Amino acid sequence: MRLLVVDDSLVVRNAIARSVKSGAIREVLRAEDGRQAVALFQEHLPELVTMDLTMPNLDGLAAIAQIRAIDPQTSILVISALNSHRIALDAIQRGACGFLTKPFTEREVSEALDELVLHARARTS
Amino acid sequence: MAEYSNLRAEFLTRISTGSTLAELPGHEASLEMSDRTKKAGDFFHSHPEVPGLLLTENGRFRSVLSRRFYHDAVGRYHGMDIYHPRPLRFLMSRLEELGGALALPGHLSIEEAVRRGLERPRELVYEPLAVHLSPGESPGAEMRLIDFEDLLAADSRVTLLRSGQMKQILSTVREGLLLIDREHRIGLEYAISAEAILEVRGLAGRTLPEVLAARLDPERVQLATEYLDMLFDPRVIESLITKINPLLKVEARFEPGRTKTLAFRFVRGIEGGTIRHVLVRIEDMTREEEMARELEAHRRRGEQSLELAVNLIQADPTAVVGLLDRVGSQLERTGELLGPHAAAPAAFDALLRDLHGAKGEASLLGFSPLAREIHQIEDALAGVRRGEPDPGSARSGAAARITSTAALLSMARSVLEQLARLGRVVRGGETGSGEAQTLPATLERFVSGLAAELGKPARFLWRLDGVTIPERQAPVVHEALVQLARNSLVHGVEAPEVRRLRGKPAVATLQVAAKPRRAAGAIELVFQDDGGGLDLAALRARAEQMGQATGSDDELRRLIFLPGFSTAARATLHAGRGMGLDLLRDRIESVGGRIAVHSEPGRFCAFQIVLPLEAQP
Repeated sequence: MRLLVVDDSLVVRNAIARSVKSGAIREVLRAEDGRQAVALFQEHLPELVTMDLTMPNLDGLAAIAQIRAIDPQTSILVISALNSHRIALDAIQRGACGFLTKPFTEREVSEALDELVLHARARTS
Repeated sequence: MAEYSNLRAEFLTRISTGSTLAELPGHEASLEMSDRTKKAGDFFHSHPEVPGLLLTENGRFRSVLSRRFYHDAVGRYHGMDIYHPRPLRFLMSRLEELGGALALPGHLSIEEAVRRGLERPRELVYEPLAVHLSPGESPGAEMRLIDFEDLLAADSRVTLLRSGQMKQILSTVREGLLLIDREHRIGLEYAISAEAILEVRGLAGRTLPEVLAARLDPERVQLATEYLDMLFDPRVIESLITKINPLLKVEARFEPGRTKTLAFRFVRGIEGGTIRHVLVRIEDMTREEEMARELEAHRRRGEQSLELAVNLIQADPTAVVGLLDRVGSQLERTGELLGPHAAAPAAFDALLRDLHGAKGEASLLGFSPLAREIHQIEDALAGVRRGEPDPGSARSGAAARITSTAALLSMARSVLEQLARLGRVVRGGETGSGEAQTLPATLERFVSGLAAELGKPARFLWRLDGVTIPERQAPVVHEALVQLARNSLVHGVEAPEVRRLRGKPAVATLQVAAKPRRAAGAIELVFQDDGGGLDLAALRARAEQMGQATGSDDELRRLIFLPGFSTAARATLHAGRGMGLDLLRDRIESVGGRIAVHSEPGRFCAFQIVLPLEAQP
């Protein structure tokens, strides 16, 4: 499976990529804003996405909607510093599968990605 | 046959929710597939209670012939003529076409066996079933035939037991357990404590959001509703949304004006791959929340008392007890002054002076939390005395400070008590360490502590030359020296860089020299620093501002002993309230002594104190 990591911070992108422990994830793609994320998604159609919410160009909520329009099966995990129930619910109603708040530990992300892989497998099988 | 019905009745009384198929009583009679069908007919005729026969081929289990199936076949037109002379195999080929007999392993639960039995084609649903009592299908393997109706009876008994157990669990469990369906409707069975926690009677059939609406604000209920929808959405990963559960900890409203802290947790119930319901676990966390708050307050008090213990362990206990008593009575006076009757400004001033003295002592004893508290009382009282714009809030501020200071005093008393107990153990009854003896060490500690705090390195020297300070005068010497040392470090001693520019050593020297004046029955103490000396220009300006006559330099210097005469613009914890030196002079004069000041600008400032050997009342 491939994972697209979307975050406008290089540090966060690297931290998420470093947390990939699952052998099921063979490739990690990175995008630094929503527009780039949608373009990369269209090109590679990765099965898994981690999505920041506040980003320049296209924000995370809009990017989730566009990605879901391209492939409704993708498993999207929101990783955001915005810690509000309203925003989390909005993100999930637009098509995310889960919500993780920053700051996070590598272990938290790693475990969340494992869940995401299981989820994606269950949906495609 | 009566024997079998007894067996069945007996089994139904000892059945449990964990009972298996093998425990059910059944029938063992069997025929070979090659036997004629008539033999089966004869058997059914002579055994009216047996629901069927096990059929074997060379001793190996093959099928089940039920009484119903037999009668159905032979009851047809010419049925008996067709089937009776032929082997059972011929009759059974019809059953094989319909799907054959059901044989199940004996370890299956009764519920599972019923489920499997009911999955059979309609025509065969009530057929008896075969049970393997031993694993494998080897020849001679033990088999038993079970009437499906017996199995159903057992199952309904198990269901009853289960619901009885469930009811018992639901009536005793502390958590408010309930199930909600896709429409958020609460199921028929729920824990009775859910009603107690939510204080709502009759939850079954109502929706959870509707129940919550009476307890939470509408926005929270809306979030909860959407969250519940999310839980029923298979796309959403349950473990990755628990953190955004909007009901994880909520303040719920109850009449009349009560609140509870409630925690709602949700667990999906998945059956056959779809989310059928969500289990809701409601907990009343009010006590836990209160305890967490109390623990936190306790922890803070613990830290404070540890700090106190560390300070008090080095201090002289008699001095500390005296101080605590004095501050205690000052607090009472403060309380009286803040009372409904307007107090005279003079009363305020007198109290402020006493508090200031106590603050100095507290610092001297290394009892900085008390010094900080008293400083805040001084501030609050000064505010009340000035008539701050909102006198009510100034008064209540001061009152709050009294409360916290009183708490500190009682904590200090209990710490002292514990230390005393500990001290008796450690010292084993060692005696005689009077205040006079501990004075040098206490003062050195005070100077080095304050010097470090102010960033002005200083050393403290004693040149007592064999003079002993009389024990009765020790308290006043204490107070005087700490006051002078504080003033000196705050105002007199220059910052290290200034000292360097003036060609002085960076480390300042404060020293106390003692001389006996035996003839006069007195001792003389000279406290001297090597700081900047008194700022005569500033003294003159301040004197003019206060309308004081300004004559010689000596007269100017003496002004520093006047009440309210301070040149420091800002009051800090350490000095500059203009109440120190006048208070000190009063104190010294009250024991029959006197104090004088000498100073040379840029070089030093010295105070000469003469005290009678015997304190005068």
